[in-house]
This record gives sequence, structure tokens and C-alpha cells, in this order.
Amino acid sequence: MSAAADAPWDDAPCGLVTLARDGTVLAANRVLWEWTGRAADDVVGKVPLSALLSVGGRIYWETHLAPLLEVEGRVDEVAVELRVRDGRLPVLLTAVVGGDRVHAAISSARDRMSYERELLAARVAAERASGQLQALQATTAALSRALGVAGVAQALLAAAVDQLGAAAATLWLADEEARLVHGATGEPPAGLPSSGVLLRGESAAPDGGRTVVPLQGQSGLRGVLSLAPRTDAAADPLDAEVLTAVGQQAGLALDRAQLYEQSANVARELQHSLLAGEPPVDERFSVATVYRPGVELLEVGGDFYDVFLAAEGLLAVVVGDVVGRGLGAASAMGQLRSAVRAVAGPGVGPGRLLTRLDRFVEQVETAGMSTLAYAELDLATGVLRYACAGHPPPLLLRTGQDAELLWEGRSTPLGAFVRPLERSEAEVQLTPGDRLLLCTDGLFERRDREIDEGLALVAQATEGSHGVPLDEAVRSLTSRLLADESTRDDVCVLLLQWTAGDFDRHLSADLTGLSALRHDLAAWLVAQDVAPGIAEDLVLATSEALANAAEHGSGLHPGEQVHLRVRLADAAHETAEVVVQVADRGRWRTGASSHERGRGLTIIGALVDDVTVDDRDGTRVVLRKRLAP
Amino acid sequence: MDVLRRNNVTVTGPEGAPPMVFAHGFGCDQQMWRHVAPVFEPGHRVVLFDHVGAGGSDLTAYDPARYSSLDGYALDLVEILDALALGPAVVVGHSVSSVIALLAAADRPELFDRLVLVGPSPRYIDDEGYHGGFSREEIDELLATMDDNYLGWSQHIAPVIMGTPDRPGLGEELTSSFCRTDPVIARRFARATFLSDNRADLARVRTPALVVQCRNDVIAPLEVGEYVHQHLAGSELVVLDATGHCPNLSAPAQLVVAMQDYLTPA
Repeated sequence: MSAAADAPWDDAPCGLVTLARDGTVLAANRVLWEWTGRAADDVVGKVPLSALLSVGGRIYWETHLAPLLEVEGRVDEVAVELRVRDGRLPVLLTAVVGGDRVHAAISSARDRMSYERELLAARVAAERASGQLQALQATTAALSRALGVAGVAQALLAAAVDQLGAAAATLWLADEEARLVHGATGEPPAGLPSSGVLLRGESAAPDGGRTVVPLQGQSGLRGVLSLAPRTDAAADPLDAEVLTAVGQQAGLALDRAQLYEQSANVARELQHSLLAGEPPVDERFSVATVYRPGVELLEVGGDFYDVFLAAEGLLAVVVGDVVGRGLGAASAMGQLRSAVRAVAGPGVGPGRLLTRLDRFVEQVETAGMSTLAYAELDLATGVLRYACAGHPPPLLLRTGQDAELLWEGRSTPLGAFVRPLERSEAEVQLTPGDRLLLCTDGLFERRDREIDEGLALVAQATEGSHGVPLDEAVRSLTSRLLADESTRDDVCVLLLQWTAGDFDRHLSADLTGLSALRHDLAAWLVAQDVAPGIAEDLVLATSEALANAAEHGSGLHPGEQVHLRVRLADAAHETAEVVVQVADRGRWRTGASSHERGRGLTIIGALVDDVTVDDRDGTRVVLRKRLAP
Repeated sequence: MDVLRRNNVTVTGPEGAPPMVFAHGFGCDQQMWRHVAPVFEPGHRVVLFDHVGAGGSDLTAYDPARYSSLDGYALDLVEILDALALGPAVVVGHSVSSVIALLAAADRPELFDRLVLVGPSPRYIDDEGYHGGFSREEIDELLATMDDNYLGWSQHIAPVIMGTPDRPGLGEELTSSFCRTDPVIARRFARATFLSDNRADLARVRTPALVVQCRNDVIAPLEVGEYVHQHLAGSELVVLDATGHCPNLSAPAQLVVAMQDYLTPA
């Protein structure tokens, strides 16, 4: 019925075909039979049009064209391939539904398809290049942001999965001792890449199921990156060209990172050696410091502190911040720190010291614009004189009072001072037990925080720190304020406590003045920040020891004297204790009185942690009581 | 991320009625269910959606990594069911979406009441002792055919579909997106569909399922339907006397009867 000879449509310049609605071929013109080489009798009424197409075309028909014909009623100019005698013929198919039939026209598209394929190839190439460029740019940016060899390694492993489409990545790097260190994201390979692959040069190459990328630095192979391709059905394959380029970038990034680390190490060691050194020892003060290098940048900063005796009985404390980072800043810091020691001295004072430092930084320009807080404490009187050159103000922490920022004595950073004006300074009277906090701005300054707000946080963080041993107080303060790890600056904190001198009295052996002495001792202990309960025990124990000494050592003789010396030992530490020494010139007596004296010691022993008696030269009773529970 | 917007989810039917979710296959969109879904609307809360990249979905939500395997599509289905929170649903998947539904049901069985799998194939490419219907070369040919229509579909045919006046009376809204997929997305979806092997996942599924197979389907041959039925615990197999891969369009009445018989046995 279909192939009636000389039907007018047989001479049409295209294949024409009529289908049933389910796609079965009902009729076709001669052109179609000639193209396909099929006999009409084998096809008509038996075979769907899709069976005459290539497999790709058949699936396409089923998934796209049949639904489209069903819903839209037509398809236009769809590119499919017809199975023909000598292979496949690219055709364009247009079909329209008419009643219970589908009418289709199929025209040869050999030339058009080759043209379109060229267009497509060009477009695919352009898209691929754009994708490659994007991946390469993102990777390069990540590598250049990374700090240090570890940072570069991490960035490279992350980029391998996020940007370069790998399922897993393993990285081997030769460290300074030429040992292999490696890191991995995802499943690592069974072993090292085969040496043959590595020797083959600078390009990414397949190695087993993985791709191996050499990381070439200026002076040779820095490491090797091994990538596993993703196995998802629709995942893109790894791109060797991009990986080769990434390998070169990563090699150079590792070169840079290593140079950078070497320089940072030198700077850090220099800084460490500059900050080293023991503070002077004197029972009348304690000091605790924390220095923490910046967490994000490997470079050292220019923060420093120092504690030294500016004159006999005159303690100098300083915290400063030199502008800049790295070797230059570390060296400037060392010079400035020495300069502070050199210009400080008897009769100089904080204001004049800053003026002299102004002259110093004229000579040493790298120290210009440094800021510092400087204070001198008269260890005998507790008078504190201080001055700040553009530096955060010292914080005064008095027992039982709110923290107080010392806003006086301020002037501009070093070298920024316009002479002949004098640098100002200020003075404050400390009472025994008072503490003074000096710090650099890294402790509280954040990008999104006002300075006043930051200082208020420092003050708040010191609340309740009285009674806490000094080094523990400064440590916990620092870790609380730096808990938000977003800080990248280095941080320097110094906490000073003035404990005044020892409590040193002589008491007449007839015990006149004992109650006044007890009162004074109680006051002294409170000033040392000794907790009330412990102070009471100590006063009671001391009083018992004094009575004991007066009675049994000196026979209550008004001409004899008992010597009392009370001091705070290890004030800055958890082992802080009060040491009471009661001395008389008497000796142990025999008999009942000796027994009674022994009983007195039992009472004392119950009140303090330790009692020792030394009677080699007179009698010395030493009581010790720890401040921490 | 609004999941319902992302997947162009539409919900019809009475509130509180048992939920029935229809998932379209590779190639077109939720319009594939136009002859089937309305039949169930009186007694079901009917949910239709488009896979990301198809129909009225949000193309900006397309993430090549997520959708490089069928797992990404299964995750979408789970997210839709979670977002709607209608309770355990009957999920009807066509073609590749029957595998997507199986993957989702294996991971989150509590979201599924029963499955209806129309023309499922866990693997299209032949393997030792397994007849999927295609050789690897033939699938590559399909991918090449999709490439050949890369320019055509994106630039020439789309406007024709949208604006030809002499077509049968179909609404503008309905026709504007049907079978129009971003060519890059379509190609990746084709690779995820035809290059996947999900045979091992069948054993993970505990949800009762109906396997619906056309007698003459060049994409999912009869023996593939039988394979699924045999390897899917608690499944039933119905063979429709129909031709082609899309009985939801070509034989909707038969499909509806098969579904009704399964879901509401006499």
C-alpha cells in the first residue's frame, strides 16, 4: 500500500513517512527506502520509525520525541541519525500529528550537521577553556592566600577536591631533612607513585587509576600530588592540562612558603632571645607575663615587655609595640627595648624617659611610631609613676574595687611628638596587694570592636582575679580574651603586684602591745590579699607563738624581746604561703613548762600547715600557711 | 533554599488525603503525568515536581557535583517529602525516577508507603550475566545524539515550541517548558542515568513496590523489568500491553488500572 510506483511524493527531495500514533511506520516514500536499504514489506505495519534510527536516536525518540508529539503535537528540526546502508546518515526530522497519524519529513543534514558539529566543538572548547581557567584561577588564589608550607599543602588538598574535581587527593612533600611528609583528603593510594611516572617530567600523568602531578619548584621537585578521579556516572574526568599548570603553581607556592618560613623562624628566634632574661628578684613585688605570637600569621610582631630595676628600690616595667612585622620589627623591638633600659635611671622619670626615646627613634627610624607604656614603682613606698606613648592605658586593680584605667600621663607614639613640649606623666599611690596590668592592643583589639569597648572587656575579665595567684591570673585573663581565635596579632601582657615589705616587729616579752600588733598584722595580711579566714588563723597562731615565746623563752621579762617577722612567699604562684617566724633568745626548758610549750605548739599546728622549731641559737618557731585552699 | 520552589512542586487534591508523589523520568517534566495524576486527585494529596534542570525547576540550584550521580536526585526527593511532611507516601517513579525513588526509599524508608516503578532499569548497559539492553558504545551514541541537538534544542527549537500558532490547542504555560532542558544539564543527567549501576541497591529496599513494564519497550526491555521484580523483595510485576517507554502518555488508562488494582485491591 505504501510503495505504489510513481506516487508523487516519491520524487520529493526528502524522506517522507506516515506513522501510526504509536510510531509504527505505515507508509514511506522511495527516498526513505533508498536511504535505509530496507524493504517496505519488512517495515510497514511492523516496525516503529525509531527502529530505523541509530540507538542514540531511538532513545532520544522514546524519551523526548514521543512525549513531545503526544503533548505538543509536533517536533521540528530534530537532529537524529538514520541507519543507512553504509553507516549512519545525519538527518533533521520534523513531525506533526494529524488525526490518528503522524506525518514526518526527514531531510539529509550531512553538511549542516558537520557545520553544526564544528560550531559545537568550538563552543565546547570555549566552555572547557573557561572552566579550566576558572579552576586554575581559584586554585592559584587559594595557593597565594596560604601561609607557610603547611598552609599551601592544605590549600592544595582542598582545591584538588573543590576546584579540580578529584574524589581524593594525597600529597607528598619533601621536608627540609628530605624526609617525605604527606597529607591526604579522602582515601589515600596504596603506595607511593611509581618512580617512572615521576621521572617523566613536569606534566600530570596517569598512574594506575590515579593521576600524579609533579610539583616543580625553582630548584627541583618539591613534592607530588596524587589524585583519584570521581567515580560518579556524570562526573567530569580530571583535566591533565589544568593539573599540570596547578602543579607548577603549587611548586612555586611551596618555594615561597619555605623562604617565608625560614625568615619567620629567624625572626621568631630573634624575638625569643630578645625577650629572654629573668626579672630582678625582690620580695616586695611579683610579676607575671604572657607573650603569645600571632596565630594566623607566622611572622612575629614587634610586641615586647621588660622588667628591670631603674635604680636601687625603683622597679621599671614596660610594655611596647613596634610597628611592622617580621625580621625588621623584631630587630627594632630589640633596639628599643635596650634603649629603654639605657635611658632609664635615677632621677629620670617616665616623662623624660619618653622624651629621650623620641630622640632615640630619630636615629633608629624602624622604631618610630612605636607605642609603649612605662611605669616606675618605688618598692618602699608604693608610689607608681607612669607614662603612655600612644599605648593602651595601664589598668589598676585594687583589692575589692573596680578596675581603673589610668588615663593620665598620655602622649603620642614615639617620634610623633612635636617638641619642645614635654612628655607628660602621672602618679598614683599603690597600697600593698594592688596590681597593675599592662598589655598590647592585640589582647582586646578586633576589627569589629571599638577600642573603648575592648578596654572595658579587659577590665571586666579581671573581675574576681584578686586572690588568684599572679601567673594563673594573667594566663586565664589572656586565654579568656583570646578565646575568639579570630585574633591574628601578637599579644603581650604583664601583671605586676606590689606586696610591700615584710611585717617586721619586736614585742616586749611582757606582752604589752600584743593586741595592737595583732591588729596591725591582721591589716597587713588583708593588704596582702590573704583571705579573711586564713588571716584569722594566722593572727591566732602568731599570737599563740608570741605568747609562747614570751612566756617560755623570755620568762615574760619586760627587758627581753620577741622578734616577729611575717612575709609572703611565692606570692605569684599557687604555692603562695605566709611564713611567720617568731624568735626569742630563750631555750627549751625541762619539765612541766616544756610540756606546756609543747601543748602551745599543738594548738598552732592545728591552725597552720607546718610548724618547725629550731633551738640551736635561742628558739625560732617558723609557721607556714598556704593561701590556696 | 526553598525546596518546593527549587523543584517546582505542585500539590493538589484534598488536604489530609493519603499522599501520592509522581516523579518524571529523563527527558521531560511533570507534564508527563498529565493523563495519570488527575485520576488520583479526588482521593489523594497529589504531589508533582520537576527535577532540577527540568521544566519549571530553579536552574540556579543546579550543582554539577550534587547531580553527578542519581544520589543527588534521590536526596532532592527526600527533601521534598521532608518539606511537605505529609506522612508516608505512595511514590510513582517513571524511568530513571523509579531508580531515584528506590534509592530514596532505601535511605529513608519511613517516608514511603509503597512504590510504583514504571519502566525501571537499575543498569542500562549489558554486563556479564545481565541484559540491560545497551552496549557501552550505544550509550555513547546517545550522548553524541544529545550533543548534536545541543545547538538545536537550546537555540532553534525552543522558540518554535513556544510560539507556533498552528499547533493543537495547548496552553502557553503548559507548552513553554515541556521537554526543554538546559543542554549541559540534560547531558549530565543522561550520563547519570545511563551510566549508573544501581543493581546492588535493590537489596536495600524494604518498601513494597509495583513494577510496571511495557511489553515492548526499547529502553527498558521486559527482562529488565523481571530482573527488578526478582531482586526487589515484596514486589509485584505487571506487564502492560503497550509499546514504548512512556505508558503514562501512550497508555495512561492501562497504567491507571494497574495502579488502582495494586493500591486498592478489590
